[in-house]
Order: sequence, then C-alpha cells, then structure tokens
Amino acid sequence: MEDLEIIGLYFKRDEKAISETAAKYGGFCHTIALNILSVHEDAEECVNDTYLRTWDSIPPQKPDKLGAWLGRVVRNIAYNLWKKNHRQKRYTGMEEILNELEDCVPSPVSVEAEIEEQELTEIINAWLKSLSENDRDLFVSRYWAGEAVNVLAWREGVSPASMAKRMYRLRLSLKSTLEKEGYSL
Amino acid sequence: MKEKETEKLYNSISNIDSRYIESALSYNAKASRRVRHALIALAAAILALFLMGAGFAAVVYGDSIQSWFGHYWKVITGQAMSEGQTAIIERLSQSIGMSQTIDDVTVTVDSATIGKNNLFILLKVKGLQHKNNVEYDFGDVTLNLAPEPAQNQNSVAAYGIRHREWDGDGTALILMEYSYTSSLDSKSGTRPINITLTLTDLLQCGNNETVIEGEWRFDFSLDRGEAIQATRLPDTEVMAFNSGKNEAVPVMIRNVELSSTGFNFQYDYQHGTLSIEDGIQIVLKSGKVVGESGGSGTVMEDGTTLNCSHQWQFPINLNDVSAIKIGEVMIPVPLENIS
Repeated sequence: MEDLEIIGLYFKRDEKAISETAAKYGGFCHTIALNILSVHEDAEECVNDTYLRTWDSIPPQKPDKLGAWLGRVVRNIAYNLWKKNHRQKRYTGMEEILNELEDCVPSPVSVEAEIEEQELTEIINAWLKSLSENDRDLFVSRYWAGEAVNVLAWREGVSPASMAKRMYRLRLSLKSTLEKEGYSL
Repeated sequence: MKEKETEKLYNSISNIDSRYIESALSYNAKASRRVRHALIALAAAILALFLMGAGFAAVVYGDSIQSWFGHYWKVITGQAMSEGQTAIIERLSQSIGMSQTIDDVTVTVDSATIGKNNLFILLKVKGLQHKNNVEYDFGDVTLNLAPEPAQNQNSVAAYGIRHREWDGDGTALILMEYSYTSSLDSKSGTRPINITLTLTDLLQCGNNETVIEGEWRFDFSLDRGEAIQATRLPDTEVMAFNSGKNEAVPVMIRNVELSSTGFNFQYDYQHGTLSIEDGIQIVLKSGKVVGESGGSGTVMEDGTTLNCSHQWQFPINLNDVSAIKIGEVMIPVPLENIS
C-alpha cells in the first residue's frame, strides 16, 4: 500500500492503518530499534510503542515521508529506553554509536559558544550535503539507523577495517566542520 | 567520556533532513544489489587478468562449476590444479540441472559447491544475444535457504552475483555466492539445505531496459553430507585498526579454524573500536597466494567477542597450504592436524 493511503487510514481512524504500517515498515522499525538496543524483546516493545505513538500523532500530523517519520519515532523511543535502562542493561549497539560519535565532539579550546540542538542539526545537514551520496548514505546508515560497521562493510564489499577507517574519516570531517563553525556541544 | 555532548549530537542527527534518511533507506533496501555490484567490480578485475592471457574468443569455461573453479585457479595461481585440489572441489560440488524457459531464454541452475559458511551456485543462461560490451542482469534476485543458517539475532548473511562471463558457445554464465556469519557454533549440519532461487526480469545493464519480463523460480536441495577439510590453528597476535586512536594495535585472535572453504576466528573487538587489518590470504606451498572473497563478523552473546568468518574464492586443498597471512603475520598450517 502507498504511504499516502496508509496515512489516509490514520485520518479515517481506521485501525487497519496499524496493520498496514506493520506490514510495510514493521521490519524496518524493528531493525532500527535492534541496532540501538541489541535486545530483541526491547526492540519489539519499541516497535509496538511506535505504532501507538503513530496512532496518537496522525492526525494532526501528516508526514511527507512516512518511512523517515516512523524511523525517527522508533529511534527516539529506543533512545529513551536506552537512557532509562542502560545502567542496568547492556545495550551494545547504542554504546558503540556513542563511543564513535565522541570523535566528532570539538575540543573545548576551539569553541566559542554552545550550540542549540536545532542549529546543530542544520550544520549537520549542510555537512551531509557536502558529502558524496555514498558517504552520506553510509554515515546516515551508521549514525541514524545504527547499522553495524561490519554489515555496511559487507554491503560495500570491503573489509570491516576499511569501513571503520572510512567512518573514522567521516567523523573527523564532521568534527572539523563543527570546529570551523566555532561551536561547542 | 563526553556523555552529554555525544548524546546531544546523537539527538541532532535524529532530526536530519528526511531526504538523507530516505536516501539511506533506499541504499539499505538495495543491500543485496549493492553486494552484487561490489562483487562484480572484483570479478571484472579477475576477468581482465584472464583475458590478457587467453584472448577474447577462445574462453571456454567448461560444463560445470568444477571446471569454472579450475579456470580461476589457473588465473590466480598460474598453474593447473593438483589431483588433491581437483578432488576437493569435486567432493564439495553437486550437479542440479534444473531449467526453465521464458520467451526463448532458458535459465539453468547447473551445479553448486557447498562450504562451511558459504555456497556457490552456477547459473547458465541460453538464448541471449551476445554483443560486445552488452551485459545482462536480473532485476531482482532472491535466495532463500531452509534451514536458514543465519537465523539468530546476531547473524549476517549476504548473497550476490560473484562473477559473470560468456562461455565460448554464447552461453552466459553467472556464479552466485551466499555467505554468512553467525554468533552460534558454526559447525554446519549434515541435513540437506532446501533452496528457493527466484530471478525476476532480465535487464540489459547500463540502460536498465527490460529484455524479458517474467520470473524464473527454482526449488532444489543441496546435500551437505561431505565432510569439509578443517584444522585448528594456534591463538595468534595480529594487527588491528583502532578507530578510537586511529592507529594499528596488536590483538589476539582465538578459536582459529582454517577450512578448505574459509577461515574463522574470534577476538575482543573492544566494542566496535578494533577491526582486523585488511587482507587475509592463504599461502600455498607453491608460494602462490590466494586472497579471500570476503568476510564479516558478528558479536557473540558476551557482547565483547567478535566472531569472524572469511571465505576463500574457491575450495582449497589444505594439504597444499603452507600458511595463512593476516596483514604481515604468517600463521603456519601444520599438515598433521588436518581432518
């Protein structure tokens, strides 16, 4: 079913909207949650919460791109679950992502002002735009969708070490951009 | 740990432009296609080597997957296969011989070779017009295995077209490879694997023009009764890339197993910061070196151990092997332990 038709079902308050969402995007949502949490049961809980939140949000919201919208919702729910539980549970996916993202944080001496999240998103958007399509897809797959480095390596037909180096260069490039802008996080 | 800052960055990435998310999603959805394209690039390099020695017109790959591997063995090593090498490929290969015709184009699943963490399938396509610089591809390829070797949550599997060639009689030959890594014990069972292969629409590469619309579907079984040569190697220190420090550091690989179809080992991957350096190679007693066809790793249940599986380009007789080379480190292969 097309995204617009699924969104139409939400607007009609037809519960078939949820089953159609699950059929089209259930696996995708589960993968994102699992990439972050690394625990199947918790990932499944996130996916169910995503359906509930989607039902509560559409309408009034009307996403242009349903896949990306659902991805954001499940990513945020998984992130909140990680925040709540990570002291008790081992969520390896999220820990690896945050460890890597630490490379992008500008050093304190190079910055002048703390940046707001929204402004930071705009800088990241501009930086993503400057990348090749392949680098952009890889960065978003890793740090937005949480795909493991070795999975990306497999897809690209390169070794995990090569992919790790490529990701490292991308992180340094983002750090350099943030430092040039003169911001701290 | 700059916890607050990294979380802020993570949250900001959450709200990036939807176009970039959509683009990445479509990249991921085309995963098997991406793998296929990456492998074709490698195939092109190997083919170029072959053509330099053999000329364009006289290439005859023979009538089975065994003779296909024989050609590639010669391309890479410059030598004919030994009796033992021939016997290994023969033992792991089986004939299938299933055909289906749509609009005068006949696709045959000819034969297959099954390894420890991988399998190869040779397809033959007859009825295509063989023109210079024209290549064909299927619009979609799906390969389902039952039982699925990569079914647990930390498994990774990939499949794609590894080589495409034209045989001397105008038959298009396609070699598919399926490989996987699992966090479970990688001992392969002996039950047959049931395979469903679906090839949808035949396209001309470059312009993506549909040559034949239709679906070729094959259901067949592969026997896994034949034992695969294997030997354990000692725990060894090799070099890994530390992405946190951007430098090479030593790491110990453990549970090292060499088989005639691949190489498995484990190491503490430091939560994603350590990756074994490029280039795992098999060094033959003749001095020739054969590279891997690819590999990947999955995290074990302990959360710290990466279980890696790398595959050879074709089955190799371990009695002809002198060492495994990882980066600059050589691991000798003692003959007496091969089973």
